[in-house]
Amino acid sequence: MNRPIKKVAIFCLALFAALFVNANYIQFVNASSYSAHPDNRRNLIYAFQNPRGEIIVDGKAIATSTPTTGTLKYQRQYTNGPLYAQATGYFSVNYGSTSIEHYENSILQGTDSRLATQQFLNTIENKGKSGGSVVLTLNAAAQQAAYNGLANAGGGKEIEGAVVALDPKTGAILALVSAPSFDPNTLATHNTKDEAKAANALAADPLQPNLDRALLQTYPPGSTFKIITSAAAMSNGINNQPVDENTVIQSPLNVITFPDTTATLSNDAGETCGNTTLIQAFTQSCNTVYGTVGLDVGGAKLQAEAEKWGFNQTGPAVPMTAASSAFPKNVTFDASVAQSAIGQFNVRMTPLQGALMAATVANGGVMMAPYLVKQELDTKGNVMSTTEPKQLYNPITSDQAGQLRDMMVSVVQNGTGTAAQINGVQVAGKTGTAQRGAGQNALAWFVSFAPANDPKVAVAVLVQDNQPNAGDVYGGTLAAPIAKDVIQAVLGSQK
Amino acid sequence: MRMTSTPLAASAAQAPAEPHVPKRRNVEAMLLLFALAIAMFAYADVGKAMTGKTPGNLFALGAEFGVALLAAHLVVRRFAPYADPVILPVAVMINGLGLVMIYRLDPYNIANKLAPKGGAAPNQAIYTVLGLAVFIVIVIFLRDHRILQRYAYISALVGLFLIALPAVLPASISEVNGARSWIRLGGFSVQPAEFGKLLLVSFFAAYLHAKRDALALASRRFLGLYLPRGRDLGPILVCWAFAMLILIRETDLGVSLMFFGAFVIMLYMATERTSWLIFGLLLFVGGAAAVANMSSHVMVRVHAWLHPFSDVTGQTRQLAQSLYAFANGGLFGTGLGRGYSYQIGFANNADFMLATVGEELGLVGLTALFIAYAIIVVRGVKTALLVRDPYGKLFAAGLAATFALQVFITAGGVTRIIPLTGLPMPFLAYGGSALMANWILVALLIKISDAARRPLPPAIPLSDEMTQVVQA
Repeated sequence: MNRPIKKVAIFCLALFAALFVNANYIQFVNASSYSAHPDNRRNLIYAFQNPRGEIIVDGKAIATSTPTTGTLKYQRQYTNGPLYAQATGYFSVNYGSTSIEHYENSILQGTDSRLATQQFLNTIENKGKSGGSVVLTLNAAAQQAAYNGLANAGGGKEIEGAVVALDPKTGAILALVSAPSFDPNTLATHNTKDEAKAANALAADPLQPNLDRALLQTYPPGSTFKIITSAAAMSNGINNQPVDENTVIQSPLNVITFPDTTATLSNDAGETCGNTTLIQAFTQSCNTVYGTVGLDVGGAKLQAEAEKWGFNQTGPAVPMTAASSAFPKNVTFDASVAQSAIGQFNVRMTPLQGALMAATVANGGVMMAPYLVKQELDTKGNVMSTTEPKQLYNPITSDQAGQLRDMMVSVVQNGTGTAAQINGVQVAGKTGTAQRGAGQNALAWFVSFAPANDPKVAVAVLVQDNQPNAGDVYGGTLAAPIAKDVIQAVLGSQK
Repeated sequence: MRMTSTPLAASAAQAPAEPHVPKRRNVEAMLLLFALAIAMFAYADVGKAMTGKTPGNLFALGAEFGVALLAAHLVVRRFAPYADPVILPVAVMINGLGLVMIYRLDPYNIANKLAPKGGAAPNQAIYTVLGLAVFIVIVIFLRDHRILQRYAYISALVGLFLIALPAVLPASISEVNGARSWIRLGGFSVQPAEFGKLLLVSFFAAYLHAKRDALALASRRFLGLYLPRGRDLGPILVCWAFAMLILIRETDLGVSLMFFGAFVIMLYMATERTSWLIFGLLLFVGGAAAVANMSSHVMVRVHAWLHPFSDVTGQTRQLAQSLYAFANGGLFGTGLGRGYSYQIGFANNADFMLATVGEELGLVGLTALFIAYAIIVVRGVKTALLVRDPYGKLFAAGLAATFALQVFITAGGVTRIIPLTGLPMPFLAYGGSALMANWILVALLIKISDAARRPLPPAIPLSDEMTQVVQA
């Protein structure tokens, strides 16, 4: 009887072999597809099961995980939520995640492959998993100055605006503010009702507090675009003659008229300027001169120049992908070319692009790729990776950058941007006031950097007035003081 | 035969020394300590993961179980000294792991009223001690496994009665999760099939031992197979009809498959005729397919097996949740106390216990558990090969094969090799009756293995004097 018993034994072991092979199949081969099934609540539970890593600014955690008593074991908490809302984003149970919380999720959650060994050791020690941390490039003082500046610009009324400050030499983002802001804590609550209420309130708010205007919204750049128009003139020359800051541009004094249309291009408030040097026209933000320069250079070359600066390109990823700034393509109509040359018509840029323009001039013509994440830390707080600055574009030569810097210094010293003057520091800047369609409020711009001889910070400020009578919305009066505060905060914190 | 000759041998003047066979009881003692240590370590780990500290009663509990195990060990040492030294420790290890897993799932089950207020673990601990007590009683009082052979037909009747009982009882008493394989009275619930399987395996062993010649030899050759005579088909057809009845009335594919599978395997072992296997397989698959088409419960389970994600909030929820648990465990598992298998709903019941093992101990732990089960099966088969009487051979091999079948049917169900059934994972799942029955199974294997390895009494020296004694 032993022979069939042995065969049955083999059969029994074959059953166990089948179990073993199948276990490999479901626990290893197919595991990721089972784990990714939307019905699998583990993804949600896991997201909240372990302490998520911190988001750190200037050595202080601005986003932390605090233990709860519920099924979802850890809740996200934001210190100074509204101040950093655009950078941190939120990490919500039912409304997903945004900004750094979203883009750096694998680190913060601890699922990044670089953390695998550490997580394995944690599991062996039965400590449970935890996330790595993310150190941001933000400068707390600059961020606060920008936030306060936008909050106070409305004179007690909430107004829309954005500030981006960069280190021109590296591209590190020092301030990133969009106004009005919101408190991400309201979306991080584990109380589903409160969470839904907050989400609905945000969605219904006409001022869209959860829209990151600094990175995701484009606006007509107005006169700040004259930086690029100047660069186009310097790069291409006019009428086969080289152009520099002292070249005199022949132009109408009050208004440019165009042959085929009733549209005209005039100077602000009907001022008279023209037939003057490029630097003079830039300092006074003379539209007739720059309209003429645009016409002289031509639409195609203007477009080519703008594209060298990042217009019509995919927006940089900081890691949030910024919206693409736009310069109208293949414009031949004179009125449109002249309008485009002063940053009107269909030219659009993000506040980030404004800061990048100033930073490019500050950095001798090299535009550094903007970035928000300085370092990624492992679960024990050791540095895992540090972002290496890298060049994004190089639209102009250092000589051209030097001339543009002189022109921007002149704006602050004796032009439209005197409000940005700082005692003992040479500030370079350019104002802009963008008119928009009927019924839409004008925009005040100020793009700047300082100190002019050794730039530490480049700032773009955008303020959108809610008053339809836009007369007092000058980049110089509304936006420049905010830029000045941010510059002072950065320089002050670096002493 | 042996028993009657011993006094003669003892009285012999120059009786040769007993041949030396190692008893290996110290090995068993060490392995038992090791099994206890594994369970205690797991318990400490779960406590640490769930509450942040090791359970306060870790060493008190360890000591209590240690005493129970010591008792079992001493009884084996005294009453089954030649028994296999591995079976008992492996069973203890799986039982201990099951206890820890039930304790680990208690907080969720208490909160959702799936376990009594004090938790299911204390009950299971009592069942474990009771199981060990039953084990001790059998090892002491079952002097020879062949005694059971005498009760073959009573075993058959009682076994059939136990397996069939839930089918005739009202569903309110017998139905749990759609399968009618329980008897629930008051606070107690019993799965009678767990005891029934032991009795039926004993009966099959006795019956097939008696009829094997007729079943094996009287046959015609056809297409290379020995076809049984029509009248010899009787027993297998009766068993088949019974299995189908269980399937129809109790809608329990697990019990039905285990019961019929055990019979066919034992039939093959007794007759060594492959034709019985093929015949049995065809009968069962055909019958089960027909029943599946009639019974909505079986159909639902087959459908869930084929399409586990087709209705994740309804009828395929459990299987889908089970697969999520296994997948989440991955290679090394989440660590004890750190999984989410409780989302299955009643994870410590029956087969789903395995999902918790898979999630928290990973593929590595699951494989180790399969190997532990396989060790019991292999040791049972080894016992069958060594034991000298044919009834013991069939009985031990039948017990081992039934155990293997049960592990495969349950584990295969939750891991989607076959449709989900309601069989409990041996030693692992919550439930007193199943635990008790499995401890009886281990006790029987211990007794049979003791008989298998016990040295034969020394041969009687032939001398005239002796011959005279016999003649007298």
